[in-house]
Amino acid sequence: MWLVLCDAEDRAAHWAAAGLRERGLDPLELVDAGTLTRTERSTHRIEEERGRGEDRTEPEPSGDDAADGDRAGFELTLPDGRDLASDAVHGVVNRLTFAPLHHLRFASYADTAYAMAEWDALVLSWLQCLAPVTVNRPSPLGLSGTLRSPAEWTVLAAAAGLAVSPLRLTDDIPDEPPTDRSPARTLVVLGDDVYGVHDGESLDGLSPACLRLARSAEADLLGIRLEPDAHARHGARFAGATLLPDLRIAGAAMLDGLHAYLTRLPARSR
Amino acid sequence: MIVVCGIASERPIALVIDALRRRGLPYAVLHQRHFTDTPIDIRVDGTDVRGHLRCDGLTVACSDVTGIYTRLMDWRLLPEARGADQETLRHCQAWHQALGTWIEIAPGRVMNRASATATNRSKPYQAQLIRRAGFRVPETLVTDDPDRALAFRDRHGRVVYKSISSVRSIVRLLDDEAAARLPRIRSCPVQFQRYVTGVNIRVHVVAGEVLATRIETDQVDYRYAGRYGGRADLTPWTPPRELARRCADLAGGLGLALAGIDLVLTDDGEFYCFEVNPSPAYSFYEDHTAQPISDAIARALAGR
Repeated sequence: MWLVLCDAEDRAAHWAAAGLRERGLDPLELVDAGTLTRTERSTHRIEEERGRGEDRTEPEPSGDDAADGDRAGFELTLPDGRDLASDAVHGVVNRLTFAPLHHLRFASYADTAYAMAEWDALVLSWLQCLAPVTVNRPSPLGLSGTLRSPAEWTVLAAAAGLAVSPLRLTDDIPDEPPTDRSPARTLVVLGDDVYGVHDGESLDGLSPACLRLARSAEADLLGIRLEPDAHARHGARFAGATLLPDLRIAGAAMLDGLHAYLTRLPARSR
Repeated sequence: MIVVCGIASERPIALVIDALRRRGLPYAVLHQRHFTDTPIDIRVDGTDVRGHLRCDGLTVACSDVTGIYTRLMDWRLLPEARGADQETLRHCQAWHQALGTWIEIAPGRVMNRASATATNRSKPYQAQLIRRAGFRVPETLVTDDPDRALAFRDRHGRVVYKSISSVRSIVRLLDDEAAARLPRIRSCPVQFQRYVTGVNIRVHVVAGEVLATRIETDQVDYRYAGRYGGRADLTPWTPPRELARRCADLAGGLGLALAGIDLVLTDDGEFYCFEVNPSPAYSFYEDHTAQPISDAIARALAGR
């Protein structure tokens, strides 16, 4: 089974799921965050040692090639009747941002905060079971990878070799965020490839720095916004990064690359 | 210069300040509750982080800071935030965001950066990292299925339950009274763990230095022994060299310059790791045993 995990309104994820199905990933299930948190039944186990989970109903992973993550797994029954078992997942496109609890009612703010923390912690641990076959891998600072402030991204981008703009950290109350009218371009890094840039374009010269940035951010998939700057090397400077790029900007090439990337991930039960 | 961030009267922070003072190390305290009088103005230019902080009437240049000890509480729970007007709340939030960002990108030794402390937000997530580091973890089940929870208890005899996150984190036995409430887990899964008995060990790792404490208790969760009329006797303990190395490696692997690692030594000589606390209230152990944990922190912050 292949999975696309996303928020309900993530059109790029729906587009990617359709494109990956067309390219032969079957069965591929798209599961939105709100469905995950309304499971009919969920079981998540972390075993002491391989094979010690004696009340498991599923067979133990076999063979020496079983990933380390096999000692932790989950089985979920979704509200629409679909079953998800971590052992059966070959690869995941992970674009989850949070665990929504709109379907629950709480007596107090404290109970709401507690339930949100509990569900976020549980979904993070589920995702960690799939981390070896997941793009992007989860982080405790973000279900789809580590969320960073603009200053943190700026430092990483500068270290990777991209031109950056200076910024200030102050305790001033921020004004309304300015409307972004800059003609920025977004490049998408996936593994060792950069999408959204054409051969011969001056931006192509920034590809190595973009790859370094994605690696230092520990992101397999990263969108990098670049704005024109005639004074910067290769004519552009860093304007931001996202772990949830709009994959549609790179079209069919992006889908081909994503398909190839997922099918090259370490085999679990395939 | 060493910067200490938090509430100065809080015991772990007070002990660090005392240790810095005793050693004659330069330090400044960034009082979290004094945010209205403590402006932050830092410029990030490429990888260069420059600017100033005002701490207790002292101006501290960021470029002079070589170590940070931070133990900030949730700003929304500060007394100053209670009943405050919207502008004060927005200022408080902006101050904490700016400070938190600086701590993340500041060079030097930081105890600890948020990026390292966050693993504790999910216990089963952290347990997967702990096991990967070579420690045994108690067999764990997180479920919303009462029948599975009961089957887990039937198999292990005694089972504890606790939160999945770091919120409301008290460990309790799944006794018959608690088991009667299991139907309630349908809407919010609960973490169950095989109850591993033995001697509790708390290992503090301070920049690779290991200080361990042995705790004898008659309670499931020794931290709350006093609350429930039980006892907890703490004594310094010297861990085997191999265990000390693994603890140091575990903390280092999680990116933690300071960590409190909770272990149990079972009767048959196995060590189990329950949790790595990235913001340990080490003062509880220092106060009971006189182990020089705050002194180790001060030395590490000074790079000595």
